[in-house]
Amino acid sequence: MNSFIFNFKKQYKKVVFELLGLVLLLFLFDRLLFLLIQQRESSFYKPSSPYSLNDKFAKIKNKVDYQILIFGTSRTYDGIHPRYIHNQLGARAFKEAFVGKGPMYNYYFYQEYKKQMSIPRVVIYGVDYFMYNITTERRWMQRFNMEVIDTLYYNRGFSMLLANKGKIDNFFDAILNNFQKNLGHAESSQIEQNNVLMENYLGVASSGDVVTQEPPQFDKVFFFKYPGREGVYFSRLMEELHRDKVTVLLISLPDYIGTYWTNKFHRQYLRAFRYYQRKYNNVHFLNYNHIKKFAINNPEYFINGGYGKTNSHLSFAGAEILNRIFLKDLRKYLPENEIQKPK
Amino acid sequence: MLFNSIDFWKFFAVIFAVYFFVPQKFKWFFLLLASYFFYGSWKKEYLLLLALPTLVTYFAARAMTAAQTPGRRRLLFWSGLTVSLGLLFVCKYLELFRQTLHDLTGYFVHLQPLSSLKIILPIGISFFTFRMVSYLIDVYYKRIPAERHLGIYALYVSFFPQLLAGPIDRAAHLIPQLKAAVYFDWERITSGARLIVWGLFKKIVIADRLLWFVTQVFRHPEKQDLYLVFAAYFYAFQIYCDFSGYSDMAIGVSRMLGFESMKNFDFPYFSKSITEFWGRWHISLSSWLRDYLFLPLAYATMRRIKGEKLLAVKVETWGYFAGILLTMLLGGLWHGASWTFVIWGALYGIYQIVAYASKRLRKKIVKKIGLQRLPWLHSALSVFITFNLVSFAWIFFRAASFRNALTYIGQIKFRLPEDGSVHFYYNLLLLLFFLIIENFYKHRDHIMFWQRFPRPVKMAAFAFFCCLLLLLAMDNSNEFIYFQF
Repeated sequence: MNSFIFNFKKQYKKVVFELLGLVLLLFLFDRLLFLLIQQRESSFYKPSSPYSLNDKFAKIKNKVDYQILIFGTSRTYDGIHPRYIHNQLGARAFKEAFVGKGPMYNYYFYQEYKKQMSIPRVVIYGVDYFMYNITTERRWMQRFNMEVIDTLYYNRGFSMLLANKGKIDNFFDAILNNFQKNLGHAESSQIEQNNVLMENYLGVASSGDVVTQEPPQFDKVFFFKYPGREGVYFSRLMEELHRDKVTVLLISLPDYIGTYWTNKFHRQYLRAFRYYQRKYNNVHFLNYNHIKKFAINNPEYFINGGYGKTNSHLSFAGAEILNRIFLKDLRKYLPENEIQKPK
Repeated sequence: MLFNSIDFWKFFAVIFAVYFFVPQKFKWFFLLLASYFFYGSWKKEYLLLLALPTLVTYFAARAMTAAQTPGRRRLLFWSGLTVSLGLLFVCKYLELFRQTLHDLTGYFVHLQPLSSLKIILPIGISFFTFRMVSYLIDVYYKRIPAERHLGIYALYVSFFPQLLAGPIDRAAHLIPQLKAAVYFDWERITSGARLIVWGLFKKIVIADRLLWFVTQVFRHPEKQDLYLVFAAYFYAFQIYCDFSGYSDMAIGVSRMLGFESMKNFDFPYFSKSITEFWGRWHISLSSWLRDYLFLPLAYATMRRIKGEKLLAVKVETWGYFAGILLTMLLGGLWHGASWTFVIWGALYGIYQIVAYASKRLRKKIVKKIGLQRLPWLHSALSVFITFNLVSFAWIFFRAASFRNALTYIGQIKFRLPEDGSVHFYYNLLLLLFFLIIENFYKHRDHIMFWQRFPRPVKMAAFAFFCCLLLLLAMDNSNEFIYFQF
């Protein structure tokens, strides 16, 4: 008999007992730690915190001026800038794009925006390759005081810590950012809460984080299909914007060429968003993520990304170029009376 | 397939489960297939670069044993050595060689960059080349017999847990284990699993979390003041946790499969001198360098000097100086084709020469200030000074260029910067936590005390630690630093 199996037979009771015990203990500690974090997270983002949406709207003067609303994630935050729009076209844009904001957040935010501001003329929505794979961060959803946040928010799995790893990390980051504020250092979340800062934000310089050398092997990722995690809310938002007769510009922002090849299923990605263009006459899809439209091979135009990296953000220089190209397109879709003489 | 990736653990789970049922006489074949599959998963071309020198060194060693004359033996030995080291030179150092030659003769000769030749640098080439070289040297000097079984020898060179970043196990240690029967031993398997979890913790919690702060400070050293000193300290721990974490995982995986690898790290930052540090840091490489480079170089130097003294200095001292300086320079170069690594190596050579030359003077100073009466303070001071010297050398190792390293050092000011970083304090906390555990492991009494606890308590502690690992780990772990070497 195989010596390995022979020895295993002699020890199997101990092995089985210890393995089962370990699995049980892992499960218990996992749930215990997760519950602890869930409770801490819930009290951390209480409605009166700096994340309050009412405070954010209350600070804005001349609410009717904001006829353009910008949605998206951190890629749009670094890629599309209201100041360029204002300088070139004279129109004011309210930028809500920020890290951790998925379609669900944007859908609920739009309801609030209509109530507290007005129906915008144009919505610019920066779409991402990973759009159907993201979940809105809890700090943002907590703004809506929804009872259902917990059931909507957390993923299920044998290990809740593993299934919700990204969210737990976001929460830890938020705690660190809070401490950082106490150290007197301006963090980007402060920009998110202040529309004046947001309107003047023009991005950051490229810092050499881009992986420009193609490694022998790098992970390539599939396109996450609709509806994914929050895709349903994206459809609902598109439908509502159609009803409200709002012009929607879905824009695909440039990715550094390494990231472009990492996110290799471009046909599926483009098809997923062109679908809305075909379905609604108010929706237009603009693709800047192509070498013919934008110099995606220039690492100076990006702050990160590269081969094996699924996400890349435009740098200050990259955003300046992109906005120049994009504003020419935006001009076509903006009502004539919205365009003023460039300042 | 990195050790910190899900893919690797899926691969290992399959290998481990099947390995149980493979008959003893085919186990080597199964592991060899697994190892080549593991290496080929990076790039298929790598397999040729692994198989070719393996075959050449195998046949060279076999022919050496059968050789009738010393001259033929020597010829075969140098042939095997030239192929294995030649391949390493072409893949790793040719571009540095070309660049240096171009810089030196730039006005007269124009040399094309070799990037156009598309030379690939296979990962782990330095590690498996050193395994083959040590095997050839040991066979040449008749310390071990040449391995008759090609499959076992190929497995020794390519054994997947050690293939990419060591430990560089010697043939005399690993080959007998690869031939011996492997029994199921639950204690050994759990011990291996514990080592893997600890290694993962070092890598994905400590090293990957320190990485962010270190990268920021090294990239923008302006106005970082005292953070520059701490970033050098943090880098010392980052590289330690990264590399020793990898080694722990490699040793743990080997142990689960039934093989004992040599120890690679022995709490190096608790060393009281640089010589002691090198006895505790990357032990498999430092002992390799000692046996196959330092000692032959030192003896060769001593043989070349006629008489007992030269310039009033003993022959043995000259042998030590020449041996240590050259070994450290080559050790630095082994880490990569860059002058920053050479400077890093040279610094260690100088440290050890100065330490050797100032031995008496230091003893006198210690005696004079009465430090020998406070041995704990003497020890603490020695550890502190050694750690600072090591951290200083790491600046050159980490910097993108020599100029960058000098700029970094020039910016150091002994005051905290105006803009505080929360990551700095977070890293300090993490390191404190890590050092408490590391210190616990260091003392045998603590381990003995822990052993007395009933098994369910130990299991609960292990399960809690695993959950803590999940909680604190970085979501996107990075590649191991030593993979590039």
